[in-house]
Amino acid sequence: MVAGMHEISIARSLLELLSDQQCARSFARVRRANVRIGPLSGIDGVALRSAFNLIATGTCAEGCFLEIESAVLKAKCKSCSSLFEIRNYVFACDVCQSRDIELLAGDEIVLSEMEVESLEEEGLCPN
Amino acid sequence: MPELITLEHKVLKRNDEIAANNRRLFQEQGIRVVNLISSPGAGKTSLLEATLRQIKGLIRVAVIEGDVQTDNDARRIAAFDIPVVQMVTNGVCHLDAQMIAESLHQLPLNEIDLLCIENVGNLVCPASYDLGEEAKVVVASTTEGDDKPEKYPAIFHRAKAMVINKIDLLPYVSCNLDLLSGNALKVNPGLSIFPVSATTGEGIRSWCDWILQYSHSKRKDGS
Repeated sequence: MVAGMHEISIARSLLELLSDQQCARSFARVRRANVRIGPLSGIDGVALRSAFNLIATGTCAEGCFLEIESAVLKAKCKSCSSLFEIRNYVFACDVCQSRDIELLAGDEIVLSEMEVESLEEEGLCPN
Repeated sequence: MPELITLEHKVLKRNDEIAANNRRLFQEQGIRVVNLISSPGAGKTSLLEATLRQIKGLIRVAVIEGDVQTDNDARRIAAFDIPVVQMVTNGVCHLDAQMIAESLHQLPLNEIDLLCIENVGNLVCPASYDLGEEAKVVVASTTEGDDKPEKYPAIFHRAKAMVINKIDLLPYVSCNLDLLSGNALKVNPGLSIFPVSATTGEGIRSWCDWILQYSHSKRKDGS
């Protein structure tokens, strides 16, 4: 899938986040980054990866492998307190059918972890 | 030596921080902010025009227009003699919190009760970007088919209200209003729904009542 405009914007924010981390922690480059995306984020993982690869050239994340983890929609019922997974985007309790529910996960775009290569020599922020 | 670092950082953290600043500013100034989102051609600008005809004398309204190109929409709104800022995104498919922060410099904030932001026509990207608004409003239309909420659940889930525009065309299109509303309520049971025609004015009154309730509840807060 070709990267969409949306994924390019998200990829740019992701790259900013990685560059900020590089300044704060002084590492040489990012080898792998894990991103967790929920179904309500509207993000296509494959498109995000191609957008990211495209704009990471010449940055600390050049050649970084973007691992995409898909989150599931999880909710808690405010009536019967059941925890359940939302399927087919039907926002109702699995157990008591109440529609008064709280979304716990599934709308996130989160950089969960990254694997970095340390700087061999001491130095300032390499940006 | 490779090192593994656990982060759990929101990718749009920076946008969310700027949005939080915008929200604080709106609260200080007592401005209610509505973010209008739809696919291109659903009739956001026409809806705004019909809304302004009803509420212009009742509260002080300002508009931020987001478009990929042209200031056509801002010129339509400027005809109402209210403050309007055109944000041209030059290809970017959504407004973000920083664009809103910049456009606020061009608005007389202490003379505004209600700020309507017309986002770029797109049902996907604008859903992800918090602008600091109090309510996202999704504008659907009868010409688009009744399965839009199933195709774009994120925006229908996040919206506080759905306006269904172009109900004057119902005799000519296959849209089923009950089905469209039912699909939207599945992803968002708390959604307020307003079927309207921006062209004939039908239904605009109840939609405007909802908008006005927003602004009045703000005044009762004493802010």
